[in-house]
Amino acid sequence: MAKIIVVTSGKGGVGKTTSSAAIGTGLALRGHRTAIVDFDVGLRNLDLIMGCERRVVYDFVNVINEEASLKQALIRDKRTENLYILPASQTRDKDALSKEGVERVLNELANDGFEYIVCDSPAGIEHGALMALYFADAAIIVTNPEVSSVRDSDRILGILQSKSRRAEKGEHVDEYLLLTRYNPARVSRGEMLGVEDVKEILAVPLLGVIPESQSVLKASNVGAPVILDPESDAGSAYMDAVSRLLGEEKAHRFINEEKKGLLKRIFGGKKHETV
Amino acid sequence: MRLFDYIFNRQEKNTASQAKDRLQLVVAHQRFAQNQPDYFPKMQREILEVIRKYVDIDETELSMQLDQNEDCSILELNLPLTAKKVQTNSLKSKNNKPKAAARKKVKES
Repeated sequence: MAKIIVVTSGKGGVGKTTSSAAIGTGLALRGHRTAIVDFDVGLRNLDLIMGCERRVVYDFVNVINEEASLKQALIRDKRTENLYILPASQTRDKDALSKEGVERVLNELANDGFEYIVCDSPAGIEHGALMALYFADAAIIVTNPEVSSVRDSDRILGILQSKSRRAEKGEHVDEYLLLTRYNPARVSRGEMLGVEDVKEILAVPLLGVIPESQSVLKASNVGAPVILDPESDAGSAYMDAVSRLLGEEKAHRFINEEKKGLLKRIFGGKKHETV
Repeated sequence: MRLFDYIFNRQEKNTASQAKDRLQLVVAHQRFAQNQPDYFPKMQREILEVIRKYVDIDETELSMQLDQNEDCSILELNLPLTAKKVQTNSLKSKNNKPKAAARKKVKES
């Protein structure tokens, strides 16, 4: 049976699409047949992050409206085996995502043998975001260590617990916290909320901490999910998160600041901030 | 100079802990708002309007919650009253203790 995972946050710009692309790719790299579905109708971006923007012919809404088959709309990833992308439409209005239509497409993906369906949610708590989370078995809450992001994450958790299909049936949606754009140096200076602070406020188990990293922008520049760059800190942090998602125990990395000598702290300390 | 900055920065207030304190408040409020009945915000506004007719109040100080027990719900409203006006009213309370708590039982149908 397919597991439906929504990647959501409430707030925009925290790294939902980056995380959807990385985690979907990671699941496929681990041998699981995976589809990443872009729910951000009108503002599609997953195709760009995945580097398949020139191969989009049909989209999610075409499939819902039965203007194209699922097979026609699914884009097979060229780099990673077992990985498929269902792009969002660019022009249509967001109400095009009907609950019945979304359910039909998700069922079809499941019947097609997909093990994981990663739903990349739009920002906000409007229709598109609600549709992305409604059918979820698990939710990855992408949060930045910053007040507005944490508050919005709490809001979206409340919605998951009351408005999702599982909630309506009295069941539980597995929730995971993914803390992104984390800067351990700033945390240790008391300038940024730490992992433990965010965990305490949201009370959600931690899936991973993705350090603020130049590799994320570089990856999106070229349209290759950052997880394909195993040398990078963000890429390896995402790989760890995927392992945890698959039930493996992995110690958290990138939470603590690299140890620096006293001289470096006095004379070179500021350099670190430019990350 | 760096060394000076470094020491000086350490003495500045820890902004992350301020962020945490503010978030804990706002999240607690948010979670409560999520579980309350739909009529609650409107009822809260109307109750406040009635109180405002008689005394000065600071709405930001208001706390109102609904506790659900098995067979009845308790509405608890806690609102500090601004000292001056209270004295002239029948709702007498001392200057140094400008707090009035109203407890109201609402039977659920």
